[in-house]
Amino acid sequence: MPVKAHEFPREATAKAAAKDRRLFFFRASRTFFSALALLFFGSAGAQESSVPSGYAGSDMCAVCHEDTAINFRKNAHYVLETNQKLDWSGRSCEGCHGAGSEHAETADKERILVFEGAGRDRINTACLACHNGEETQRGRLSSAHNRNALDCLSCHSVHTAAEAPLLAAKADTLCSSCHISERAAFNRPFRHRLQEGAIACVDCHNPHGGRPPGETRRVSAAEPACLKCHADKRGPFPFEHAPVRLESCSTCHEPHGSANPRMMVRHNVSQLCLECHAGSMSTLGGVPPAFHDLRSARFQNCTICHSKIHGSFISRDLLR
Amino acid sequence: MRRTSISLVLAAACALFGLGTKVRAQEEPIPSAVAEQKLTATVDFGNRWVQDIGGSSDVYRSIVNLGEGPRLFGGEARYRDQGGSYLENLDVSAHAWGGDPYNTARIEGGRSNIYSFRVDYRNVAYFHSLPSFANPLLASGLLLSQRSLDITRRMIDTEVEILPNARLSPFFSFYNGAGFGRGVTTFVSDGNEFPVASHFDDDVSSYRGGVRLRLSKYNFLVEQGRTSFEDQQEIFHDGRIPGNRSTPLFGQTLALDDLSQRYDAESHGIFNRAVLQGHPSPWLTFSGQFLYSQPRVQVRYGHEAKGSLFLLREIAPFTNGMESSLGDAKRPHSSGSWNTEIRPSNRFRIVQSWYTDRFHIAGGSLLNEAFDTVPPATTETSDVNLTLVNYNQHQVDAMYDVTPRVIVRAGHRYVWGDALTRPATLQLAETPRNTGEVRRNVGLAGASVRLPSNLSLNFDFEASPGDDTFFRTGLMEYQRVKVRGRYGIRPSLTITGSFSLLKNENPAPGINFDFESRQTSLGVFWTPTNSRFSVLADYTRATVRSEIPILSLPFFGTELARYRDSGHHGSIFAGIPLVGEARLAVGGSLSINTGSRPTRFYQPEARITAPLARHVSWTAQWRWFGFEEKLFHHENFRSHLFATGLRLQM
Repeated sequence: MPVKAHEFPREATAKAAAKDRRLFFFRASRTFFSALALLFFGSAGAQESSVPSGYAGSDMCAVCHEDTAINFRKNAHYVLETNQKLDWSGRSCEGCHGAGSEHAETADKERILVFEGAGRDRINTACLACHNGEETQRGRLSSAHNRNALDCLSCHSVHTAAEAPLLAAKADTLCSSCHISERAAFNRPFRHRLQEGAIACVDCHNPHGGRPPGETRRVSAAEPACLKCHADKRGPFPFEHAPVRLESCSTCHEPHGSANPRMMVRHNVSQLCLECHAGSMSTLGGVPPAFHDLRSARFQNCTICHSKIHGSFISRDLLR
Repeated sequence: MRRTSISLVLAAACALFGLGTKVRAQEEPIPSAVAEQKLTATVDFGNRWVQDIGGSSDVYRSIVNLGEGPRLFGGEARYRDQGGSYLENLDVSAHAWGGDPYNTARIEGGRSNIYSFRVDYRNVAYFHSLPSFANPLLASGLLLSQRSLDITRRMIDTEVEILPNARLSPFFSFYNGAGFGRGVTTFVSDGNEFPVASHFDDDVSSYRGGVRLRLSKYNFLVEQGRTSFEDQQEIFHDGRIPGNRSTPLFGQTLALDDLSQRYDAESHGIFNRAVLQGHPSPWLTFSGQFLYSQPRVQVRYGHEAKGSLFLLREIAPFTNGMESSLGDAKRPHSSGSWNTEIRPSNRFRIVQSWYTDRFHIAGGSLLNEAFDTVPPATTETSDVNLTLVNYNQHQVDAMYDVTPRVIVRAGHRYVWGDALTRPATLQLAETPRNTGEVRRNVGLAGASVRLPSNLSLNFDFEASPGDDTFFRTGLMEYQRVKVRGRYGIRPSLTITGSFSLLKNENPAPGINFDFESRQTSLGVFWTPTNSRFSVLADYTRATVRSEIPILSLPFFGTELARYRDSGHHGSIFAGIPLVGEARLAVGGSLSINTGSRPTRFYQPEARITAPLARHVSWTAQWRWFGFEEKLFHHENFRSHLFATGLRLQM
C-alpha cells in the first residue's frame, strides 16, 4: 500500500488497523503467496517487498541514526519491530515518524515528521493512535493537563527515557518542575514521605486524568486513593462521619504537607470540628450539647472522646 | 529550544538527586558495547550514623524517623534481551532497606506479546507521638501523649497481563495491604478518660480480573473484583490509673483497674467495572466508565472495664461494666463517568465530561450494657443509620486555537447533589439539618500560550456564585485563579513561576465564612553548558486566612474562629565539580510557618561523590534536621545524620 511521505501517523495507523482486521481472515492466503514469492524470487526479494513503498525501513534509518537505533532496541516501542501482528516490523521508526523514503533519499528534515516543535496536536495524535485505549488514558479528555494543552512529550522521552514508562526523568521530579508550590508543601514538618521515597506523586494522582480534586486516582471500587494505604478508614461504617463520604479527606487534612500535626488544616482539633458543628439552617453538621464546656481542656480535644472520628462500627456519636 | 532547556533542567535535577548515570544517558549516546549489555545494575549501600538527637526523640521519630546502622540505600537492575525466549525485559528496584522506616521494592518485566507483570511492595512505618496533640493535661505540664501510633503498613500490589498487545488480553491483579502495630488512645468512661494501650491489626485484600479488548477504533475493558477486609482493634490496660480527672465525681475518686475492649470487623464485597474508549472518527473521541460495588461489613464488639467508675445516667458508681455489640452495614455504590471530545475544526475543540457518584450506607448496631451498680443497670439499645449520597458533576469546555501557540478556553461546570445523614444522638440546641444539598454553577476560563521565545504561560480561572453547599466550610461563592509560567532565558537558565489564589465566602446568616489562600512560587534552574556546575532553587510563599463564627459553649454564644498560616518554603541544591570526577552537592530545604501554629523545619545537607574505580564510586552525606515549635518548645529537636557508602555499577 503506497503511503505518502507526509502521511500522518494516525492515518497510517488507521489504515494499518483496517488492514489488520482483514489480516485475520486472509492470513492463510497471504502465507501461501509469501511462500510462492520465496520460491520464485528468493529470500532477498521477499525482504525487500516486506517494506511497503513510501517507507524506508528501519535498517535504512539506522544508517544515519545509529545511536538512536541501538538504544531503540532497549525501548518499549521496539515491540513494533518484534511483534508481527502490529504490522510495523521492519519499519518501526516510521510507525511514529511517518513514511520516510523521501527523507532517506534527500536527508531533508522537512520530508518526515519530526516531533521537536511539532505542536501539541501532532504529537498527541501520533502517540494516541496506539495509546488512546489504555486504561490510564480513560480520564484524559477531562484532565487539567489536556485543558492546558500539554503534549505527551512534556513528560515522556521516547528515545532517551530515564525512567519507566519512558519518562524523561523521575516522576516526582517531572511533576515538581511545574507544580513548585505542591513540591514545597513536602518541606513542611508533617507531610507524606515523598522525599524519602515512600510515596510518589503518581501513587495518588493520575497525570493522564483522574478525579477531582487534583486528578486523584481511584482504587478498587472507585474509592479514594487515600484508602489504598489507610485501609482502616475504608468502612463502610454503620455510623459514618459525613464529610469523609460527602467531600474528601482534604476537608480536614492537607495531603501534601502541613505545619499542623496529622496534616490537619487547622492548628487544633476543636476549631476544626466546630467550624462545621456550629449549627446552621442551610448546612449539615450537628450542634454539640451544652455539657461540652469548651473552657475545659478536656472538651478542647474532641478526639479524646470521639476517638472514631472517621467512622464508627458501634457508636452514632463516634465514641468507640 | 524549549525542550532542550527542560531536558537540561531535568538532567540537573536528576544529578542532584543521585541519578547521575541516567543524566549521562540523556546527554551522551551510549557506546555500542554498553548498549548491547543485557544486564545493567546499580547498588548503593553503606552505613548511617545518627548523632546528637537533641530535644524530643518522640517528635524526631514522628517527623524524620531515620535510624542508624548498615543500609541498602538503593539498588536498580535492568535486564534487556530483545527476542529472549522467556523474558525480554526485567526492571528491579529497591530503596531504603536494612531498617529504614520506608522500604520499597518494584519488579516489572515481561516478554512482548506474551505476558507482562508488575509487583510493587512497600513497607512503611508510621510513628506519631506529639505531646501537644489532643492532650487535655498539657496545660498542667504532663507531656505524655494520649494519642500516639507506632504502626506498620505493608502493601503488595501485583498485576499480570497475558498477551499484552493482542486484541483480547486477560489480566489479573492482587493487592494486599496490612496494618499492624501499637499505640496509645483514650478509654472514656463517664466523667473521666484514661490513656490506655491500643493494638491495631487490619488486612485488606483485593483480587481483580478482567479482559481488555482492543479494536482499531474502540477499546473495552470489563473486570470483576472482590475486596475483603478485616479489622481487629483492641484497647487494654492492667493496673490502676487515675485518668485525666483528679477531682472526685459525686464524692467518688475515679480510677481504672482493668480494661479489655475488642473490635472484630469483617468486610467483603464484589465490584464490577466496565470501560469503553473510542475514537470513531478524527473529530470524535470518547471514554466512559461504569462501576458498581456493594461492600458489606459485620462487626462484633466486646468490652469489660473494672475499677472505681461512675455511671452518670444512673448517678451511681460501679466497679464492673460490660458491653457487647453486633453491627452491620452495607454500601451499594454506583459510579459512572462519560467524557467526549469533539473537534469540529482543526482549531476548535469541545470537551464534555460528566460524572456521577451515588451510594447509600445502611447500618445498624445492637448494644447490650450491664453495670454492677446498685441496683444493677442493664440496657439494650438498637440503633440504625442511613446515609444517602447523590453527587453529580457536568462540565463543558470549549477550546480555540487562536494561533498554533495560543489557545483560549471557556467553559461551565455544574455540580449538583443531595445527601441524607442522621445527626448524633445528643442534640440539645436547635434541630440540626439531616438533609443537605450542593448546587454550584461555575464559570471557567483559561489560556495557554507557548511563545517561540521559550516562554510558556498557563492561566486558569473559575468562579461560582454558589447556591448550596453541604458544609459550612465548603466551596460556595468562590474564585480560583492559577497562573503558571516558564521562561527559558537561555538553554542553560530557566525560570518557572506560579501563582494560585482561592477565595471562598459563604455570607449566609449564621455562617459568614471568609477564606483565602495564596501561593506564589518561583523556581530557578541553572545548568551551564560544558560545565558540571548546576543550581536548582525554588521558593514558595503560602498564606491561609480563614475566619468563621463558631459556637462558644457551654452558653451557646458565638466567637470568631481565626486561622492564619503564613509559610515561607524554599529549597536550593547546587552541584559543584571538585577534583577530577568528584562532585559536591550542597543545599537543603527550609519551611518557616508563622500564624496559628508557628514552626520552623530545616533540612540542610551536603553530599560528596567521588569515583574510586571504573564501576565504583564513594559517597558521603551529611544531613541536619532542625524542628522548632514556638508554642511547644518541648517538641523541638535537632539531629545530625552522617552516611557513607559505595555505589557499584555494572
